[in-house]
Amino acid sequence: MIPFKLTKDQIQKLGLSTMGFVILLYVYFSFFLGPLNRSRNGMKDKISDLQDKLNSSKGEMAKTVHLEQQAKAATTRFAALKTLNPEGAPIAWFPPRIKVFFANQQIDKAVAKLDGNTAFKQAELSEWMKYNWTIDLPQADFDLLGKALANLENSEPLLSISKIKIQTLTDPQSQQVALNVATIIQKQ
Amino acid sequence: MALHLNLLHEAISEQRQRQRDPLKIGMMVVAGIGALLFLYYGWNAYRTLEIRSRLSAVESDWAKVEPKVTTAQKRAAELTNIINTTRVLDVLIEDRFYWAPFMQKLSRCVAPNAQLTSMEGSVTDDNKAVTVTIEGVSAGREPRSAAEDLRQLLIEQLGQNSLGIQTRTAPSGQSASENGDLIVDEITPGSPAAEAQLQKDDIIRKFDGHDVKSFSELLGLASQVESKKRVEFEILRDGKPTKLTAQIKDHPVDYSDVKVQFKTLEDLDTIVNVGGTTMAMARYVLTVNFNTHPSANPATTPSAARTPK
Repeated sequence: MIPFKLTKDQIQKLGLSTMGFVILLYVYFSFFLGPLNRSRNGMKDKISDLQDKLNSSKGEMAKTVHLEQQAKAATTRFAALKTLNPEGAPIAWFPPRIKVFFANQQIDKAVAKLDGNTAFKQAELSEWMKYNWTIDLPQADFDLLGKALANLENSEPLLSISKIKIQTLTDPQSQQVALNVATIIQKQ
Repeated sequence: MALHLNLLHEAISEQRQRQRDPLKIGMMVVAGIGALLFLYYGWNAYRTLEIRSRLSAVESDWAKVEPKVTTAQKRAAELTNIINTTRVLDVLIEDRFYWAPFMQKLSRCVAPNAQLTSMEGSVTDDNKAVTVTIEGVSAGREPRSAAEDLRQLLIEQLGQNSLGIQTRTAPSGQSASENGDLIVDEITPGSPAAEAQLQKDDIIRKFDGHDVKSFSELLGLASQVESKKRVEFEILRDGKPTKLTAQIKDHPVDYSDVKVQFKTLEDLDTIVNVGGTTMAMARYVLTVNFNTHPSANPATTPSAARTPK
């Protein structure tokens, strides 16, 4: 058997070849195959993401159609509640409206004053504000007042009376009335 | 010959040595692996192109659907917001305390001999509890008892009414007790009074065998009757005496935990003369407290009867 003995020159060449091989692998994986695989994986992820969106989109659209049917009553009611309050600053329209309302109830004098407004704690009512008013009725017949209050409570669902003060006047038929009311009004 | 063989052997060894050149072998190995890697890269590049074309197709599909989905999502969010807002608004509306029914009940309790001079009421922010302070004067031989009658009536009117009946003043303007006629004014549907077929304008004479002269008396008698017991009304309908039977049952209440207490009840020095009769006077301040039942207090138009004058 012939002994396999490498010369110094051969060892150098072998080392050089190994280095070349390592460099080749590095360049190949770092600059060719690596970026290609990354790009491919990125595209795969994007496809999967879009596919998920496409699949869920059918559900989303069906859900909206279903919700639209479910929300018919709520939408109508919401629109009706919105129309209860006209556009513009409440201070401009609420006092005249109260004056007209009580005048229609045969209570001629009615003065509404704004006490202030506050935001609601409920997140659902972030677009709405609570306005507090004092309504003074310097002279009101008790019967008419009772009917007027009933009509006010029935016709103004967004209004609630928090305090009521009735004082008999010298004329036994008449009372002096002060109402503290709160109205729910959509922000402008 | 031996020399020739020896030279041949050396030539062969030299040739073998040349063939075993490590650099050459290394280069060949590197070239081979390089070729394999190139093929692998090509295969990967082909797969990448395939995926890119799939991505283009999916992107094109999504581009068609996306505007619809975005619109649907916006609409869904809008509808959810409307549903939630309406629900919260409805709760606020339903939980309101209605003052008109309370005023109606109050007006029914006030007899001409126990008039109100002022009333101040407030409801808590959560609309659960109501406090009312009533000031007034009463007149009569025993003015304090007139005020006490008002207190009792308020408790009965605001609390449990097991008959489901409301009465009104006699047409003459006198109170029922003074006139002796207790006239039916309102009947709650489904109540014992309705089941007994009591009608508006019937005049109640007797209840469960006892003479009845006032609404407070009637309610007092009714409160003593056990639930589900059958009792007899003796009434006058169109002037003819009639007997009706009712079964007492627990009636839904408008307000609960009703407390009506005198804050002040004092005799006054003032003496009044009503129709030639001298009457003493008393001043009272009543505090009324109760909890509300939102589902049971729809606003109604108060009756014009028995208003404070």
